[in-house]
Parts: sequence; structure tokens; C-alpha cells
Amino acid sequence: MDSALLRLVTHTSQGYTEADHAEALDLGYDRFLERHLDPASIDDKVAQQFVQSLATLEMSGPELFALYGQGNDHEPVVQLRTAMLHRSVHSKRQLFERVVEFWTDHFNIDQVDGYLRLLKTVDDREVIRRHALGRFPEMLFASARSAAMLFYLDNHINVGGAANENYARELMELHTLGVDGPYVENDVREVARCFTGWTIDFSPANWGAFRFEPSRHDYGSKVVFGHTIPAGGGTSDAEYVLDFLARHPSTAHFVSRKLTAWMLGYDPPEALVSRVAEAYLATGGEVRAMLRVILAHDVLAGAVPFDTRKHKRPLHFVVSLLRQTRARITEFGPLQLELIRMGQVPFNWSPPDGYPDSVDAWGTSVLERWSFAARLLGGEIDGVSVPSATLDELRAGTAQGVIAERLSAFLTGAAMPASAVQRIQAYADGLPSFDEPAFRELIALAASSPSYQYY
Amino acid sequence: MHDLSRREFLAASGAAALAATRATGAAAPAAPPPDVLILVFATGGLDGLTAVAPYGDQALYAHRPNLAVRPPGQQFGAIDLDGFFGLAPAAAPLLSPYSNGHLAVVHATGSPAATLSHFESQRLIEVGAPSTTAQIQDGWVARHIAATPPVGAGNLRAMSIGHLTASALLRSPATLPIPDPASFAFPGAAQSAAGRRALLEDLYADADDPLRGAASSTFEGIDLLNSLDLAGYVPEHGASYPATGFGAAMRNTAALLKAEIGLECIHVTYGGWDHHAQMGPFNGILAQMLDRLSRTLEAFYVDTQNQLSRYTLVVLSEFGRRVPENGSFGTDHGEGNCMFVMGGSVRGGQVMTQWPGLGNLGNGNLPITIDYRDVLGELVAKRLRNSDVGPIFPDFTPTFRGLFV
Repeated sequence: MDSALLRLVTHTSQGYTEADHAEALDLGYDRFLERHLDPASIDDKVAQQFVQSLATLEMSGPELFALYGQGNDHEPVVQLRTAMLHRSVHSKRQLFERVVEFWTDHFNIDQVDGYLRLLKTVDDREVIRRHALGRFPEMLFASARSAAMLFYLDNHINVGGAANENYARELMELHTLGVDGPYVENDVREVARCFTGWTIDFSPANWGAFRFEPSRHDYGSKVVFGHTIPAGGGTSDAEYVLDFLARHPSTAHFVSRKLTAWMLGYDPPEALVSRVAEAYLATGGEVRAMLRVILAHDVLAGAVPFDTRKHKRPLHFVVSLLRQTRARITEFGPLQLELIRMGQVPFNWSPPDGYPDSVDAWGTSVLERWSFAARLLGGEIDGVSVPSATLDELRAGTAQGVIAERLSAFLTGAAMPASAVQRIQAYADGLPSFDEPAFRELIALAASSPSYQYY
Repeated sequence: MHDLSRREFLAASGAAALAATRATGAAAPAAPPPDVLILVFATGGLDGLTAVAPYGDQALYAHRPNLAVRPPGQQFGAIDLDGFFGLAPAAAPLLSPYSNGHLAVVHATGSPAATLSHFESQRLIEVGAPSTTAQIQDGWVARHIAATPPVGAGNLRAMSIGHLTASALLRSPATLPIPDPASFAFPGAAQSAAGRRALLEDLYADADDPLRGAASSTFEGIDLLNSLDLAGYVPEHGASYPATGFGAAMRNTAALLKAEIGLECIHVTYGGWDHHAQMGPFNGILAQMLDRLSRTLEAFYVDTQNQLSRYTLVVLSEFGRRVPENGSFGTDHGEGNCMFVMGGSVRGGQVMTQWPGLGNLGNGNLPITIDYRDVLGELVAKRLRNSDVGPIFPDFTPTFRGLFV
């Protein structure tokens, strides 16, 4: 078996499935990767038809405001979360959805407050999904002008004379250069001045559009990163900053390291990160070009040895189990409650750094996962069920004496350690009867095992 | 196969450790037990200049024409503490523990290593790092716990109330994040629970950390917490906690403190203090949050008045806010800040400070004149009864300032 191919499937999807693996085996490594780097080439009828039933997803700012702007803003929030969950589980464009999740955290916006409950819908569509596999500089510019980001980081009320530093700081620390990047406190203050006057049009006809308010702009000269921006500019001040940041090698490096860590492993080797950053600089920040370096066959085959084992975040854990068990989902609300219980509701991380991606952060919560697996398989989550057909398929042609091995293959691509398989098998052998409830419990236990928490 | 299950092994080793503690205790005069440390981290940068306003420093009013708490007696005036500092009106409930001598404020404090980044500064403070470049992976409380014998059985020594382990507790032995301690139960059908649990105990016995340790503490936590009926906990002495997440967390903290299950530290995060715009110190968002914070702390104080000698509670934040207000009625990231310390062994009723004055600020930030590690270092030595403070705060020698008995 090609271990690089298996790793490609596990690391570019929200949970390994035998069907995805079969597709990859059929296409071969390079064609599978190229196919997923071109998501438009993948027929995605099921997800698309469902998402089309969520009317708010395609609405413009003025439409959202007209229908949901009077405090009745629950529906757009629920629909956006629902779309996120549905696509994670059902979309055939799994690599695309993985990358969307990455940028959602990178340009984090907590959907909880006021107008953000409407504006994030537009940001998700026009900034994140539109540019996820496009060019980073374009995504950065789109994010800077996105009403949701302007609102979330207070840049829409950034006034000359006493500039608001919130966006300026996070733009450099989190979006581009990174906290160790080459900027100083004075750069934060000067960049904040450059963005004064950037705001949002809240008139009904253009609600949520970018607007520049000259009366709030600080027209004095600024010195950013040692470069003098002459007095009398306007929006061009901040555009200079965005362009400078987008081209900066530190941005290339910071984004490359983070994307590589997201796709492959927490601590990627510097040699690999440098190659990804070179691809960024050579292509003007093309995400596809970076992903081709990150996901190259020799990298996943172990040419650059490093630990590619990652711990699933709660959403990943939930989605992987739903995908593998081919769960029938008729309601998405209860699943959102499950994610609240586990601490990872889509679009609901309060500080601007996005949900953490580390085993230190999430690895100490085990009980919530055992609970979810038990409740899912036990049919205790409203609107979600694991059909008996999945169980029948698992048991078809598999003797009870090797059921643990079958589960390891089904859930992890046979990545469970032999000792775990033996223990699960011993448990199965000791069951007084192997009826459907007992089998469901066994699947939940396999999904609760340590190795299932990783990918 | 295992002759001894992991649970039995842990119980046995925990009992041995306990016995060892007792043996040491018998040789020396009976040493009082360490306090339970209750650590409240107000993330986002709580504005200490509003919470405990230096109304006696006239420069405050030049820096913050719209946002400064006024002197006592005026509209939106401070509640006087010592003739120079006063509580924000919204923080009025803190006056009672302060006046009773059980609450102290430390002002113009913080970490000299901190930057103006939320995430970098919070991490620095919680891991106790001497500089931004120090490679420290474990939390300062984690190092204390690892270095000292357990107070109880040893399988659940610290808890973050939340989904994530607080950085102060990163890599701490026998430590768990628990979002809701009142519903921490093993899932599934009762008749198969013992068998399923035994399998998971076996599977996790040789998992990698942090999963292995987390599972072991989880099994212990299930047993401990389910024996408590936290859901049915009734606060004492008429204490009433606000119906908020933070209120619920502190209510559970009080119940856990009283239950004496061997917890040595409870960490609670209260987020959302990053008020760059429309800060609302009098009747907006900051006032509302200060009200919740102080009403919750007061409720905890009242509820635990019979346990005052058993805990020390600390409230801190990653940094204070910029002294001058910005043009959107908010404040940006700053440096020095206030800290609250509460408990029966705190020399309360004082604002401890070496006030630098707001008249001549180079970068607009309140200078840090008392290192937060002075406060926490003294706490470790005197209240957590761990005299070996060096490893807790590496490359730093704390100055004990007499904040604790």
C-alpha cells in the first residue's frame, strides 16, 4: 500500500473514508491531488443542492439587512453554520473545505455580535470561499475591505487624530507578518493611521459595502516600515500597506508555515516551509502553488522526515465519524449543540486568532468525544442517525472474530496499533451477545480509542 | 496483560504518596495545608484604569476626557478606596471584601516581558516566562503542581473550567479542562458501562500524552464529581451568583472548594475585555462586565466565608490598556494593569502600588512598577507552601512585598 497516498487522503479530508481512498487508488497520487486542487471539476451535486435551500447564503448585504436587520438575525447564523457542517460532511470537494476551514481561522471573525451575524455570511462567501484556493494577496485585500472584518476589529470607526489600533495590529500579527515579524510598535500606530476613514456603508441600498469617509482620514504623512507615505493620500495609504505586507517575505514565510502545519503536521521542517514560501513569492501568493509543494508525493512519502500525525479538533472528530458511518442527518441544529458541548462551534471563536490547532489545546478533553460517539451510535442525537445499513455492510463477509481489524480499516485506514485492535477484539469476544446495540457500542468504543483522535 | 489495572495502580500510588505526605507531616509540627489557588484570567486586556481608577492623578482626565471614572461624589464617580484610587461604580460590590480586609488590589503591575499582543502576553504570563524568547512549554501552576506532593489522592489536582486547558496549567499532572463539572458522566447504557469503561482504561493506558493523562484524570473525575451533586449545590449565606457563564463557573468553584476533593488549583477564564471601541465604562459594555465580575466575586466571597482561610483567589489579565483613549471611545493595548487578590490570608484593604504617575508617559502606557511574579512568587511560597519558587518563575527572583500572611 502507498502510505503517501493514504496520508494524502487523511490529510486533505475531514476524515478518512474507504470511498475516498478507493478514488485515490483509482486515480493515482498526482491525479487525485490535481483533481482536488481544481474543485470545480468535481461534481458536488448533493452539497450544492442542499446549500441552495439555504436562502441567506447567497444574499447580498442589502438583502440580508432588509430581511434580518431588525434584530431577527438568528436565521443567517444558523444557515451559515448549517452550510459549513453540511459541506464538511457531504461535499466531494474535501480538500477545498479543509482549506476553507484554515482561512476561516486565519481571518477569524466571531459571528456572535450585532451586525456580524449578517455580515459574516458575505465575508464567508466573498472573502474566504472565493479566494481559498486563489491568491493570498487578493484574499487579504478582500478581507481588509470586508464589512465583517471592518466591524469585528473596529476598523470601521477608526478616526484620524486618535486612531484605533485593533485591526492594524492583528493585520500584522495574525494575518501577515506573524508575531515575530519585522514590525515595531510604531508601525502598529502608523498603520492604524493609514486605515483611518475606512468604514462601512450602512445605507439600506448599499448596506455592508466598503466606504471611505474622507472626513475621518488622517491626511498627514506616515512612516511605515521605514517608508514615508507622503501627506495627502487617502485609501492609497492603507493600500500601500496591504501591498507591502502581501509581498513581504515574512508574510510568505508565516503563511507558509501555518498552512503547512495545518495540512501536514504541527512542526514542519524549515526546509519544507522555505520551499513553500518560495512558491508563494514566485507566484504572487498562489495558494494552489503552495499546496502543490506541501502535498508533493515525496513530502508525504517521508522524504523530509517529520511527524505528520495530528490530533483532530472537535469539529474534525465529529465530521469524520459522521462521514464514515454515513450518518443520516435530517436536522443540523442538534449537531450544533453537540459542537457547543465540545467547544468548537463554527464561526464562534471570540479572539481574532482562530480556533487553536494543537494537541495541547484539545488533547485533554476526552470525555466529550466518548460521549458524542456513544450518543451518535446510540441514536440519542435528534435528527441524526447511523443507519443499520452501515452496520450490515461492516459485518458483511467479516467474521466476528476479526471485527476489530475491520473497524480499524473502516475508521482509520488500518492505522490503529495492533495492541488496540487486540484489546477491542478481546472486548468483542467477551460480549454476551453481539446484537445490534452491542455492535453500535463497539463502533463507538473504537471511535473513542486514542488512535482515532489522530489523523 | 495488566495484573493491576491502571485505575488500581493510580489509586495505589496516590495512596502511597498521601501516606508519604502524612509521614513527613508527622515528623515535623503539623504543617497547615496549602491554599487552593483560584486563578481568574480576564482575557482581552481588562482596563485597570477604569476598574480601580487613580482619580487622585489629575493627568488621568487629560488622557481620557470621555472615559475616565470621575472622583468620588461626582456623577459616575469612583468609590473611594484609599484617598487616591477608587473602584469604578460598576465594581462597587468589591468594596465589601476590600473593607473587610480580604481583598487587595495591586496596581501598575504586569509582566515586563509582555508585548502588546494578546496571545503572546497571555502565554508569557501563564507560563511564567522571563522573556518572549524563553522556550517554556509548561504553565507556572503546572510546575508547582509537578514539584509538590498531592494534597488529596492525586488523580485530579487541577481543573480548568472550560473546554481548553489554561496555559498556566499546560502539561500539569492530573489536570483536566471540564466545561461543566456538574455534568461529567460516563456515557451510554448503564448495564454495559463497566465493561466499556474497562476497555477505554486499557486503551488509554498506553496512549501518548496528553491523552493518556487526561483519560486517567477523566475516570477519576467522573467518580469524584458524580459523588458531589454539583447540580444541586445551594450557595450559602444568601450568596447569589449572576446567571452567566462566569457566574456558573465560580459557583461550581465554590462547590468544589467546599467538597475538599483534593483540587489544588481551579482556573477560570472570563473573556471579552478587549474594548477598542465604545468601551462604555459607565453604562456600556465595560460597565456591564465589571458589574458581572464584581458581583460574581462578591457572591463567591459571601458563599465561601467559612472557607476563607483555605483559598487564595487571583484575578489578572494579559495587559492593561493604553492610557489615552482613542477616537472611537475605546482604548488600545497597553502595559501596566491592576490585579485583584482575595482570601483570608491576604493583607487586604489596600491598593499596593508604586504609582509611576500618568503625567509623563513616553509611549502612552502605564509603566509596570511591580512585577506580577512578585505577587505570585510570594503566593507560591506563603500560601501554596512551596518555598522553592525558583523553578516556578525561571530567571527571576521575586521580591516579597508582604501581600500575604
